[in-house]
Amino acid sequence: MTADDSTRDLLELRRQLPPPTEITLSPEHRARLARRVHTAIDDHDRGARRTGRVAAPALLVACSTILALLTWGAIDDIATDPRSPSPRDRAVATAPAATLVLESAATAALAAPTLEVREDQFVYARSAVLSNDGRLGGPVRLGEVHEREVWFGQDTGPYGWDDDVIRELGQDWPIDYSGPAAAGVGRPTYAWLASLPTDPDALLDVLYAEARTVERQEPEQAVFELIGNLVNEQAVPPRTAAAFYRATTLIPGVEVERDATDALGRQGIGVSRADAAFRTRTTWVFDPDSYELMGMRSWFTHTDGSPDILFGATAILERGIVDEAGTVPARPA
Amino acid sequence: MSTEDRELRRRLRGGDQAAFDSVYAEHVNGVFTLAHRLTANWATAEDVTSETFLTLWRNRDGLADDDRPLRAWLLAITTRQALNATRSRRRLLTFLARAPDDLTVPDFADSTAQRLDDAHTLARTARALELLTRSETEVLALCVWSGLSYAEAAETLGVPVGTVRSRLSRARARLRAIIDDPPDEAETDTWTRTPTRIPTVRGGRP
Repeated sequence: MTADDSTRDLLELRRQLPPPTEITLSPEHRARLARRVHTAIDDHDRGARRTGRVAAPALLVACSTILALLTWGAIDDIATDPRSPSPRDRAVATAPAATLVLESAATAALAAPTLEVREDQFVYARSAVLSNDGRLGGPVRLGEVHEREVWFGQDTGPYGWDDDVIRELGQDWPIDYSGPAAAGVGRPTYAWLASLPTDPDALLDVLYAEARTVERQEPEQAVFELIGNLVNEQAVPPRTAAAFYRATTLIPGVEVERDATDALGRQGIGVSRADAAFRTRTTWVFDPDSYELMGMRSWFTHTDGSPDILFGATAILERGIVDEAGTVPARPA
Repeated sequence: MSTEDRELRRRLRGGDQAAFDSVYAEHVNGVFTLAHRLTANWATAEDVTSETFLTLWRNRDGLADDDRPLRAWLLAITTRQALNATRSRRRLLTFLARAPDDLTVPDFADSTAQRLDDAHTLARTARALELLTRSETEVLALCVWSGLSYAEAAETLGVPVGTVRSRLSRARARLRAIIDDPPDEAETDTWTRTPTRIPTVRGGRP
């Protein structure tokens, strides 16, 4: 590449995304922020001193606690009494209709075969996507349905994502984690999904710990969305999938959305939860006969009671396991 | 200038609070401006600014004994903090699509009323960032927005100059593929569809 090319890159980027308007903070605001920085520094310095002084005893306490927990866990395993529920057992929290749909989805998931997925393979998913083309602040304008394909590498190593790619809008979009990223909620390999607890309560404990809430978002919503992401474009082991759906029945605020359709207009039955913080609602659409997941849809909600506005939807068209990113599963002729 | 920078670095390494305060006074506007552009949110930009200066303080021992200005380093830290803060980009987009008015209004009366990036520019930027990797966003923030030379950016990020060039080139290519929005009509035109689900499943690696 020549210097001229790179100058042209710079100029074009600067034209497309001009530098920000310089913000000059008022003296009061500067002072307020400065106090905050100083408080953070004081906390940090105090914390550093404290850690240095008490590290050894703290470590000892931690070790003995772990030991105690391990011992307790072992005894618990041996002397399991089915009549005494574990203290973290949650009650079913969804509306009865939603519980019914989710239980049916769990049963359907259990009937699906367990896949054999090698570490050098890829999970493939193809969906139809409907998204909002409208202008910022303007009314929602749904675009044309387009197709989207994803390939997720199954190597659980830190760079197992290396060939992950999304094919959409006529182009391949490589997924880059900017460094090592182990399998986990952000990179859910089939093996990792299979390693999750299949007890719904224990699974929820894991998910509540892993789900990130954004700003004032409720943890319940973050977990609902996390489960949605994990079942949407992935291959999920049957027992894990069933546990996901059963765990969802323990999340308060989940309701049935009747006559939900996917991005292709296919009729289904929806399970939905509203995000109070962002005034949106996400619906999982299940096939009304087989209770397989058909797709998702997203809504804007209103506090004044006016009808929700659809701003996006997907429809799952195909899932599979392939040997190479960019290839599709063999289809019957 | 250069001996001043070296002296400032020495004083910082020695834990000199006054040196830190002078760095804060000189750079807080620049750090906050970049943070606001990257996060499109006043409160988050405050968080990022605070974290950036805390990072400077925590890492003062590691400051090299040379005469480079601290600005490039601070802006690189700002970019990384901002990227961490907007891990859930889809949320951000939803938020942007929903409540543009909230974005530019600080939660207090700022006596020096000023123009901030308008909501359209912030939304446009958020969508663009959605398409870029972290490393491409870094060179965008440093070279395109902050006017650092390729050499300065390369030195700050610890990569060869050629890498900075190729990241910029990739950033341009990625944005071109999706923005058919002539810059002159930026205020009125609409962006084409963006693959907003990209970060939904995958994004947000710390």
